[in-house]
Amino acid sequence: MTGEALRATSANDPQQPTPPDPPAADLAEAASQPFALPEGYDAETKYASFWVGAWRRFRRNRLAMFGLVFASLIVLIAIFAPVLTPYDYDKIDMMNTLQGPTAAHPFGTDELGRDILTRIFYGARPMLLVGILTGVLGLAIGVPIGVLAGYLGGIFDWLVTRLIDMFSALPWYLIVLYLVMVLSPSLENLILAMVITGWVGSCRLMRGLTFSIREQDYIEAARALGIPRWRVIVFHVLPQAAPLLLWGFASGIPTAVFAEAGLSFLGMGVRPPRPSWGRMLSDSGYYWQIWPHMIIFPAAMITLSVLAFQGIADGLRKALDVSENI
Amino acid sequence: MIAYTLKRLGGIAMTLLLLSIFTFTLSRVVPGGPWMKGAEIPLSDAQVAAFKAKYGLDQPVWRQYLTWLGNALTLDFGYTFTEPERTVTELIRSALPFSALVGGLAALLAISLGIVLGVIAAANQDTWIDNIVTSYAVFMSTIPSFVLGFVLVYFFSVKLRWFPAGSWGDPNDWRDVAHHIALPVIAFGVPATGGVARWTRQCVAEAMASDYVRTAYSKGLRASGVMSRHVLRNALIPMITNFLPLFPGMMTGSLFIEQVFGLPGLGRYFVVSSTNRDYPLVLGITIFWALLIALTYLVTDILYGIIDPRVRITEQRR
Amino acid sequence: MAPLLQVQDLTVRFHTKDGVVQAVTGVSYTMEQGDILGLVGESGSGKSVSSMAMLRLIPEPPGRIEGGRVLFEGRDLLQIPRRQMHTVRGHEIGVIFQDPMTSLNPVMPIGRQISEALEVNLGMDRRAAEQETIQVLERVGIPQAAQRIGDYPHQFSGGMRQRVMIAMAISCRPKLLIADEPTTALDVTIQAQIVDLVKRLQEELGMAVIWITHDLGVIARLAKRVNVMYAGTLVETAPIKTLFSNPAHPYTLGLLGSLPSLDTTAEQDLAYIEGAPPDMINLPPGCPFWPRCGFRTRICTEQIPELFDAGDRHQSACWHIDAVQAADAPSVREREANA
Repeated sequence: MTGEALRATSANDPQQPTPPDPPAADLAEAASQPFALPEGYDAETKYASFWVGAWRRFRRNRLAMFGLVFASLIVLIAIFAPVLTPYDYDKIDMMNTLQGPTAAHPFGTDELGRDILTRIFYGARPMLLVGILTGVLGLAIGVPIGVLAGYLGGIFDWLVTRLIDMFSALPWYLIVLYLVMVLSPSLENLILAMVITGWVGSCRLMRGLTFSIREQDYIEAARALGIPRWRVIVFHVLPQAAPLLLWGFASGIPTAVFAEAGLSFLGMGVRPPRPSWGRMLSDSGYYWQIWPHMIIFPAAMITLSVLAFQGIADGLRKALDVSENI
Repeated sequence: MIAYTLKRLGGIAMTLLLLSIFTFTLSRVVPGGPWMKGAEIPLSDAQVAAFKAKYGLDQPVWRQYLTWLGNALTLDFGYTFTEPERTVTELIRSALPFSALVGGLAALLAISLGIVLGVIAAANQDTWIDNIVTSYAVFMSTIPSFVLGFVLVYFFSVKLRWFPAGSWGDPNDWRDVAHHIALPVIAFGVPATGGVARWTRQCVAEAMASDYVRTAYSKGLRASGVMSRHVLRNALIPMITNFLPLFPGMMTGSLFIEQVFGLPGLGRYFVVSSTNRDYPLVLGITIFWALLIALTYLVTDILYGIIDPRVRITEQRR
Repeated sequence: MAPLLQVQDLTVRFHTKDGVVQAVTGVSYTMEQGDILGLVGESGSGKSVSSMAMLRLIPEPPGRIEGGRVLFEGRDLLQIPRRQMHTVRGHEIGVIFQDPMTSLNPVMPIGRQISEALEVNLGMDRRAAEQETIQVLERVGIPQAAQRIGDYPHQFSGGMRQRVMIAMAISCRPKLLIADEPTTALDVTIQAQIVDLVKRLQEELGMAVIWITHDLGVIARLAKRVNVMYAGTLVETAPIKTLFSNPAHPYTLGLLGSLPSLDTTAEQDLAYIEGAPPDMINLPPGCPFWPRCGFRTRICTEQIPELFDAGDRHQSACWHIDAVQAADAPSVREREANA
């Protein structure tokens, strides 16, 4: 290519031959031919939209894709559990207790003869309910409060900050535990307790985001044009927040999964005989030391589920390129 | 610095106040009490009334709260419902060392192992070493500690019989205690190494990619000098501020592990007292933990102000 | 006398997920001792990358030096194992970077940052290095240098910080100083001070200087010779006066034409170069400038021009040097309308 440009440096270096003269006559003829756009040259570089680009990045992440597949599987299992298994989850069969995996019971049976595979299938339900409802309701409460606090400031913001501080003073699982105990343990109360502690996260995010956006010039411009505050919030602030909120929702799910498992393990979750993977761990008492299949399957499912949802959340974070510190 | 500390302490006091009001009110407002929960012999109405009178539960809620608050400020949290002879403070004091030891050791394990792994990963970014460490970190941080507890007990207690499956051992023989708490500490600490390793890797990698590191190389420094004098010193600042809260975090978060291994720690008392609706004890533990966590954050912030000259020197200027 | 620096056909590429970036392609030039070279170009033209590549300061995983030689005092810097580059950096070649706030270690006192270089490169002990640090800080115009060696970067103003960086770069008396856009982040008045400082230091120490910038006005004060880069290639090189009075490349012509002068009236539109900076992953065929060029013909899209002679020590990589040297800068549209 311009390897011959070496020759052009000779003006600085007396040891090399002089540079070529301007193009000779034969080239001059070619040079004078009028300009024409070369074949197949595309002047515009195409840029994919933000969401398309994000999806592509997400797809490349193996853990995230595993998470997506596994999570979808769990959702399907939870929904179609009755169809997938012939047993009821509370069907007691004292003739077949504590059996290891067999053809009739692929995951074995527990101390009351209930089929473990069935209980695993049904156990997905409380977990998903807690995970998704916590996320959705937490957002529904946290986002409006956060945006309002960030935008309006003043006393309202001060109040909200106090509330956020209060709920952050203790690790969330302690507050949830206490709430569940006070309200008496049940799945509904667990979800309620999770939502009460969960709205804080999205609230904090939205408040911070609103603060930083509020200072931007285009907001001032919009207000100067006479656009009312609520319109500014809905059409200018919220769309910016969409990636952050999506990630916030996704990263709340593994926490909720862990919460449901842990609290059910402590006996604070669903009431028996409804199955929950966490509860299955504690229900196995000391039996599992001899019949480990009783805890292998619930433990594996808990771990894989947390891994899957965490993978999705991490994948989203990288794909959407969000950072918590705005 | 003094003004800042005072301001923070004020904030902490207010938060604790709000928290105590919240938990207290909730406990009094929701119907039910320890006499109902799993009581073998249902108490008669007269007995319930006597119980209420003894603990002042028949007073209006706000008056009860103020009484409680007044006592709390002198560190008197009253007597527990379930063990009427013992005060809350006494119980906390007796159970605290167990949680503190297990939690503290677990945090130490998490931080030391995590930092080592994180530095290795950052120093070998985007190589197979980095991938392995990161995969390990991700996996470890998703395993719940009690699940890991079960796994460890199964392999090392049941199968191999190397470690006992639970309980504390003889408190007077530190070797026996160590033998007993080895598994809980590992089960509790190892999942946390994941998070520590990832954060370490991020901090170190960020420092390595910074402009001043490029300048350091351009001056003629070698990799070892750059790493020690420029990278690590800068990365340490965000790392410390994140890792210090692990100590109180793990000391207060040990309840799952205590449940699995049957350890007589504060977490276990919290669960049990919640189950029994033993409100004085629950309140006492709650406030104690909240105070511990808040103070640690304060110490961390002050430490940050001392370590980072950007904060320290601007402060002095004022 | 052998030239101080001979860059021959340097090529650097970045292998990214989105494609291969042709950051620098076939760049060659020479410098003698004490030369002052201005390296001009817009962002992405390869001016910084070509200079950083010489010192192997390019991050190697995505970046790769894929061709050429860089002879510094006869030694090919690209052949030296990376581990031994520290002998050249700092001691033989010093660098000033663009943003002194991020380029200085925020938690290390500035005196330490300078004496560190002295200890490592010149083997000085602590005390001697500290003395020398004070000397060099005074030399670059930091008042009360002895008291300020314990201060941190954030305690200095932008201009002072840049002086500290300069002090650090020249402390070990390098033979070549690379200044990578050192005034871009500074106020205009401070810019002039820094340029004058470097000029004075160059006269006192006799070192060669490569001054990288996108601002033609800045190098007018300082450089003796100018290399103009576009899309990773060297498109024109000339002594400074010749470049301003008689440019031979359409890009240079456009750059000069876009500088408003005191004679420009309010009614006149500001001239600019049409089009957008090139996509360094998908460069157009032929000369990289033709999408924005008012002198283009068919050959421009088919063959890449070499550096042709355009006068005394003056070369330009263009097929239409004569036309350029004869003309003002027509826009693409004007040219094609007239054709």
